[in-house]
Amino acid sequence: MLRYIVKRILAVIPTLILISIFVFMFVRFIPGDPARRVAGPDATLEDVEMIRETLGLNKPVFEQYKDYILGLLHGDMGTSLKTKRAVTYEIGLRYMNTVTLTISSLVWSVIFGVLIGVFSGKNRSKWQDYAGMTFAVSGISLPSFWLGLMLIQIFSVKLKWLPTVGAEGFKSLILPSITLGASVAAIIARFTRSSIIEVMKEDYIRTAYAKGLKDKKVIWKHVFKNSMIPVVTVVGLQFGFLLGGSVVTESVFAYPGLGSLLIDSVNFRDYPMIQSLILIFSMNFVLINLIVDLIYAALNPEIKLQ
Amino acid sequence: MKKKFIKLMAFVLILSFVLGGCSQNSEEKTPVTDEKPTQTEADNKGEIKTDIVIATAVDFITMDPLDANDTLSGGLQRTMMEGLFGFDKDMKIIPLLAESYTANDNATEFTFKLKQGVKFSDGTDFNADAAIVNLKRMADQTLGLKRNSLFKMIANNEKIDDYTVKVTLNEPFGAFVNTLAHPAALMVSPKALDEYGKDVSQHPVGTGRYIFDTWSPGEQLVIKQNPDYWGGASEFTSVTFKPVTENGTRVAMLQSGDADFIFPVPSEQIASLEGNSNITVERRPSIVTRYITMNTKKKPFDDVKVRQALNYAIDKEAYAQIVYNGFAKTSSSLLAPNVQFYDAQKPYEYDVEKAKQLLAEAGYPNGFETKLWSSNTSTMIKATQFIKQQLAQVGVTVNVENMEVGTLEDKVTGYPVGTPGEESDIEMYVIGWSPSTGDADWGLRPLASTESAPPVSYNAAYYSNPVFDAAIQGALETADPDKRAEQYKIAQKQVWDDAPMLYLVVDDNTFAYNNKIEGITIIADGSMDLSGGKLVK
Amino acid sequence: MDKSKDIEQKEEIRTPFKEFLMKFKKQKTAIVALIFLLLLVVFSIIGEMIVPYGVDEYDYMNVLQSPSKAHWFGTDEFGRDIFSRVILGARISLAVGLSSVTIGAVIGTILGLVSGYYGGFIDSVIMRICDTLFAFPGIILAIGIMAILGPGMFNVVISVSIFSAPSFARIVRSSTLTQKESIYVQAAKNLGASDMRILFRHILPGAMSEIIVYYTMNIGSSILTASSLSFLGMGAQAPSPEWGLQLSTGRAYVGLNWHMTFFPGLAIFLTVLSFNLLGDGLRDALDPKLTQ
Repeated sequence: MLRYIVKRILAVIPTLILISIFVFMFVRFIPGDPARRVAGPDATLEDVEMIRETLGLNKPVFEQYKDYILGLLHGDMGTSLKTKRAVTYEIGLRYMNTVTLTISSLVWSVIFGVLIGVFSGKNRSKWQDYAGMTFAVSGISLPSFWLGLMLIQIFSVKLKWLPTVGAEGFKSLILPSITLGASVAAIIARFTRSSIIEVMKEDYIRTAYAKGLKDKKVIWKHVFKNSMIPVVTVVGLQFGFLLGGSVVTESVFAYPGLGSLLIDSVNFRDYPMIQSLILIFSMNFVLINLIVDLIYAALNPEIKLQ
Repeated sequence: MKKKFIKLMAFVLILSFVLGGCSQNSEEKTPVTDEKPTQTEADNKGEIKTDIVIATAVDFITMDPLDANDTLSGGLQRTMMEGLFGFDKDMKIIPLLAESYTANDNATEFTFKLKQGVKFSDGTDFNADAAIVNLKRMADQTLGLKRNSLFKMIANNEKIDDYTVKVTLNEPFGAFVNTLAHPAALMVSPKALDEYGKDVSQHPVGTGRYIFDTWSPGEQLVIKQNPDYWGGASEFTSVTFKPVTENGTRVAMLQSGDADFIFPVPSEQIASLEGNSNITVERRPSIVTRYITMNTKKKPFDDVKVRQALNYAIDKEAYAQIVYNGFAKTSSSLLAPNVQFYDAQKPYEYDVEKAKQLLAEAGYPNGFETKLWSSNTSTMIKATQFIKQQLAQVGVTVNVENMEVGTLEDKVTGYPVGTPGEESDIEMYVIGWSPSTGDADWGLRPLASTESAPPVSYNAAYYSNPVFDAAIQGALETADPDKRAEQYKIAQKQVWDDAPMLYLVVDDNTFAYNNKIEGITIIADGSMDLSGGKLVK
Repeated sequence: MDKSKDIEQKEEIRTPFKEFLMKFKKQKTAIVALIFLLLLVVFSIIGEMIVPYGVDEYDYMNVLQSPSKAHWFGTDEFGRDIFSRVILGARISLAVGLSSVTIGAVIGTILGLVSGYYGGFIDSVIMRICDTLFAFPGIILAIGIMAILGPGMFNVVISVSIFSAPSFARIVRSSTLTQKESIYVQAAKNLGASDMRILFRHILPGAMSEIIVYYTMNIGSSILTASSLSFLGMGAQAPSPEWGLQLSTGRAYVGLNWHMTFFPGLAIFLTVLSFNLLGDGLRDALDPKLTQ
């Protein structure tokens, strides 16, 4: 087991190097001059050139990459071009916010998504199924800015139950998690449903029914267990995506997370910040994949870790 | 099985916390805001609210005055720090830490009398020494800070006595006092500069009405009352600034009481606030002037008649109404009315027939096809659609290209210095300009003088007129306001009549607050002025 | 290559196809969804002939009107008729959805086949690239691509197909892996069939049902992705009636002029719903295990 984990983690290193090179080149391909972005809307060429020099952007690209990688090895992700603060500091401020929001959205959306999925799948092609799936599709296709602004109008402006913005405490998490989780719940519901349908077609489930076992018992004991494997994959994937922060939800709730930081960095062509954020996102993905594989093994001992 | 599943979920949760925790630990310690931002407790009976919350559209970038180029940061810095001069609500220059000044005739020597008995909030005295430390820092072009170049004309600073400083410039610069009123010229405590070095950008210390408290970037910045302020302590014990990008949310914060003051109020949403008796919406003219540059070196814009024709072809009143929901005024000069030395010109009244006639005279009776660049903000998208529709009425086909700002800048400025306008790809370009010094020089020179053609500065029309250039230069060579006014009058008339730009509107700044506070305002340059802030009792 | 593929498929699927039709007829919701989508296709073709107003018919006297008899869905900030614009926007949204997923599906399928069939080094390279694309935040990829190529619907199609290709590659790869070991593939191999022939004649048809289902479902989500690109100012250019663009313009008016976001939003919702329901129906109809 441990060997497997170590092996998996080692296998990640080439991917990360690939990503780091790719991102490094990619951000520099995007048109737009960071020195000019940083210098501001009324800077003269003279200011721009001076800033280019201060930021070290006039060095050859290869040297910049070398500096960046050497810095990374020392745990230094560089300095934000925009704010001149350490990238690690800026990301550190927001990382936990994003994790908290991700988890709280994921918790409710997994519970609701799985429940709706089971309900729909079990009552396949009946009205319950259509109701469940229409609900699920609404979750995917409702624009999150709209949902967020509506929630604010109802719960903050009209009822005054919950704060409009902020990242302090449980209360301020409720509205953003609902907004962010809506589409995740929908995706999970769809996957659970089709997975349940697949499993219900299996012979052993028919046998269970034939043996006269009660509906509830069959569903929860046999069907549910076996249909969770694909769902875990989806949850893992969504977890990865959510950890990248959500631009729209974060901006609607003025939530200090990674998504808005990323967009802001792209607008400013803040190279070190973009590179570091993407590296972190990739690492998140890789780690989550690993965890998902471990969960597979736990769910189904027949799947061998290879 | 259920149990097992729950266990699994718990496992995932724990792991992710651990992961999050790890990466947190490896980062620098973040300054924890130990005081929770004071929530709006105004509803509690009898209690007087002295902590207020202000929601702004963007986050602050830095607290180092010399390194800030956004008006928002500049405005906030003014609450904590002061310069020798400042602006009043209408952008008229007022003395702050300077009592008075004298200048020689050709604007190369300025002598400042400083205010006495002022202390920085860390206890350091404000005097000639402190002023000179700051002036030197401004002039030091090796620091590489964004605003250093504003002060490159400072050659020498001399202490005459403890409260008198004489500044010598290396070239005549009539707008020097304006430059000292710019937020970049705020005075920072020499002790703090010494102690924090570059990090002064995170630890601003000045002589202002408020003292810096905490800052959690992306979330909030808190300033608190300076009890020893020389002009008397503020009424608010603390002010919390929160960056809220989403327009609808900012409005909702004011409605729900989560914010006491919001800026800007999106013009589309003003109607939803106006019915609320607890909320006041205010508008004040800004100094942001909006216009479209036309590449005067390219056909058909090389003909002044074509450029004038397009000026006649757009209904600017309707533009203000549709694009800004009426919260803008039509332009009457390249300078906005609140900029020093503004001089009103004869407007290009909306007149489709006249436009067509001018186009015909210029040899384009059937119009022509051109492209229009702009950024891709929602306002600009609206604006470009409107322009496209209006110019179509006179036979001009406009192909709109809305671009992301960084890309757009590259398209405009991505040429070597000295590239003639003929070789640039630019044709028409919608843009706005806000001269942050509030001075005519910064409102005209970068936009229309020959030396300012891209990429050096922002003359995207590649306009070049010796009369204009001479007037701009002439105005800088004297400190006499009357002589300067005369020169700027010439310059404004020239650039208006030559019409290298299609003059559109001047924005209004719109802001709103609830009935618990009053007196906070937005200055024409778009910065917030808290100096008159009061509680309504 | 493509031609022969088509012919071969027809030959092979002929009898199962009838069976499929019979099963599909039972999928009532899928049929309703299909009818709705066909209606959209009709709108896309003859939209101009049936809408009451032109897409660019400005009317500054009647801006931001609520729905009425004259304007069923109300008017926008330029006084344009939202009903007409929603109908005319169908063409763009459908075109983007269909073309981007088709491109993504073709590329992804080829990559998946090659990756699964040959395995080894090629497989790991392709899968690493897919991993990289997965890990890369979509928004950055989109911004980057749009910034490099410039905004516009064609580039939206390209960037959305880059999103969807990796998932197709994964699905086809796993299907290929299982089929590779199957008796008929082994038999074909022993008979000396070329790799190309095996891949396209034997393995691809086997993966087809999964591809079709995933394809229909993905169209919905790519319409959404294209909309969010417009929303970020990188997709369709004003004054295009693309739904996402209408939605993002309406954002400024949320709360006051609800109809500006509601109707384009509803159009997106119904279209995505229909594609999903159609996908579900197809899956059921293509599923051999299902014997209802």
